[in-house]
Amino acid sequence: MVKVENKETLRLLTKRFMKMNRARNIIAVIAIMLTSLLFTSLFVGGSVSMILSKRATEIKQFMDSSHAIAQNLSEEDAERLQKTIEQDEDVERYGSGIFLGAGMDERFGFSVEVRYADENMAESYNCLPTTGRLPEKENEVALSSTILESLGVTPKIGGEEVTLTWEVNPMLKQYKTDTFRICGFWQGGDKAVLGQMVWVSKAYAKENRYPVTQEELENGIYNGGKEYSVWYKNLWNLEKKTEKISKAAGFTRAGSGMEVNPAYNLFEEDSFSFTSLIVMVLFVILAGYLIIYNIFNISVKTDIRAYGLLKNVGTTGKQLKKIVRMQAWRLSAIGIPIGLLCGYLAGLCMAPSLNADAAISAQTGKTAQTVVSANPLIFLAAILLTLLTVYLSSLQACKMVERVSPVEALRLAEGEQSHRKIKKNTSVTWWGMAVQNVLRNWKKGLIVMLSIALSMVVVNCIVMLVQGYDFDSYRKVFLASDFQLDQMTGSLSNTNFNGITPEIKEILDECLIVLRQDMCIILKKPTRWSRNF
Amino acid sequence: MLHIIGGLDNPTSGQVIVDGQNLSHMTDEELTIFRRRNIGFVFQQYNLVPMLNVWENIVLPVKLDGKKVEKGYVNEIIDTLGIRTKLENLPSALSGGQQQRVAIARALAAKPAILLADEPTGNLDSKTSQDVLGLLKVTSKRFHQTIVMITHNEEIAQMADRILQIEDGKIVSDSGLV
Repeated sequence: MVKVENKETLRLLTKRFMKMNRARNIIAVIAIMLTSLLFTSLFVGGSVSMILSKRATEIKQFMDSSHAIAQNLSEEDAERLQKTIEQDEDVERYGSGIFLGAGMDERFGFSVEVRYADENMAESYNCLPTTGRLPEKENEVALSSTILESLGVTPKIGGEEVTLTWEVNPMLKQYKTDTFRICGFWQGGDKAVLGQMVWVSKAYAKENRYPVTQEELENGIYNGGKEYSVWYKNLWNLEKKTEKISKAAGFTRAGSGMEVNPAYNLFEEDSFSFTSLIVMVLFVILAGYLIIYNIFNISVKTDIRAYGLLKNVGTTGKQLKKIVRMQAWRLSAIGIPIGLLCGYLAGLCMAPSLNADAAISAQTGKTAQTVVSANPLIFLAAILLTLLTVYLSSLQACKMVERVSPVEALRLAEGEQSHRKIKKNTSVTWWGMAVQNVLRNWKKGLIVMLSIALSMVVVNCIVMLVQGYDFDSYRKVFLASDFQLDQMTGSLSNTNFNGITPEIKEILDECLIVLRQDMCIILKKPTRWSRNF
Repeated sequence: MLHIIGGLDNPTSGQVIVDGQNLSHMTDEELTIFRRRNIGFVFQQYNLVPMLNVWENIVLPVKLDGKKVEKGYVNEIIDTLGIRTKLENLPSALSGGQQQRVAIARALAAKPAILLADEPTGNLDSKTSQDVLGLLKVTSKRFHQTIVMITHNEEIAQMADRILQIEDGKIVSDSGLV
């Protein structure tokens, strides 16, 4: 087959067809725009935002922004690991630190940890001084403003001093009290995070750290343990890269060595569901497909005489297909950009509601983060999926024009699909006529009904996701108790009871002990209690 | 019969050979291309493309083939048919006679091997019919074009150089070339 240069003619015909069908163009643009909007808002608000928000919330909650971390290491393990990290080509940068002990002061009312950390490690804890700097001299300290306020010290740099007592070894009941000069501080923020940090200098840490042995570490004495945080060059294959470092450093026991930050694990339990995303994408494709398919089908059938005429004159089936396709692409070029913009705005509005679960799982409203991304890949994905939907929707219409008989098209009328005999006792009521009209072309009627039904499903899903979050229902399913004290009672030897506020103590005092079982005490709540304290 | 000659329809049996080419073995695509290069059609219903103006309708078959329009030749046809002033108009703005002239111009523009006219005056009044038939005769002579015309009208048939009479699907007489 000889290729002919007739793009100009096809473009002219496309233009004229579009001019002939202004109403169809508007409807098609709206349908394409809505499809694009659904995809964009699904990716922006429903998936990327959920992933990023959950990640940001977990990073803040667990005070770890690095990709992988190794904690509670003995001197020998730490040395081996550091060498391995430095030689690994996947590692972009790393931080190191030493845990000295828990801060001890009844004025604290929350968990305080005295540590040494280099700049990278302090950054991973999200505790870099915003005023001043990290300590360099032995008598310097950088700490959160929350700690200073609880001790009655004004957070400022200029010679202010603070006296701190910390626990060197909980088993041996060894404590140390020193006075430090404040060289840096930051806003402490939410008290319900892992703990408030006190950074001491490397020299002070080396001088005063408990020389913990491997056996002691295994028995739950973490004071003096070393730690490392690692950032890789990219987020691909974090598990594999971390395992590689652990193995190379000689960590063979399960649970030892480096671990990936759970915030970056998309496949952990209760994490983001890719299956749901794929189902929603298919839903949107189907909803968009049905509507756009209907539009093009009806449009081609309406213009079938014109297409037949063109075939009569010498337009091949392929050329007619191109004309229909070009109309679809031109309509997409108008509808998609509008849909992307509206979808992004819709995603921005939806994101906070969709991340309500993150707020609860963070167990504190302040820690929960809502992060929305405007990554170009999101928009590219939305564009490609919308174009795919439009392409699939126009397939049938293209087939129709390709196969149109030049002679038949001149005589073609609607309703030739159905060869049903007209019923003898046809009702003449408006309802009866409406039913007959639908049944006359039952395929078209079915597609229209499906597209309406699917649109309702999509709307319902969105409303449910955005407004359907009910705390009482969540509480009944996920929360068995009225109080939950996390990460404070994992081991009695390093439990910091300062985390139990006076208000909680007051309420606990009023509770009756119903059952003691191992380390679990079940209390019966009093008739008067308050959730907010 | 005209549709079969022009490749618009397929015969149930037998072969159709036009200008040395066997239409029976051609695909739909090949038939369409053959039609636009070798056949000029003039229908009773004119069948002009409604959203293209007169000029665009006339040059459509040529442009679909990706060829350059021979403006001199097309202008000569337009002048012969007397539709110079109507080139920017859409078919809906033309009378029946004018539309048929445009259809004739379109049929001639691609310099087809044969021009097929299916009762070209069926929808026209007598005066316009005479004009159109006169033009068909003139253009046939001027552009050396063979015209195969279908008609039920004896008078119109007499204008032809050769008449084939078909009754019940069979040729009953052939006047031959005069």
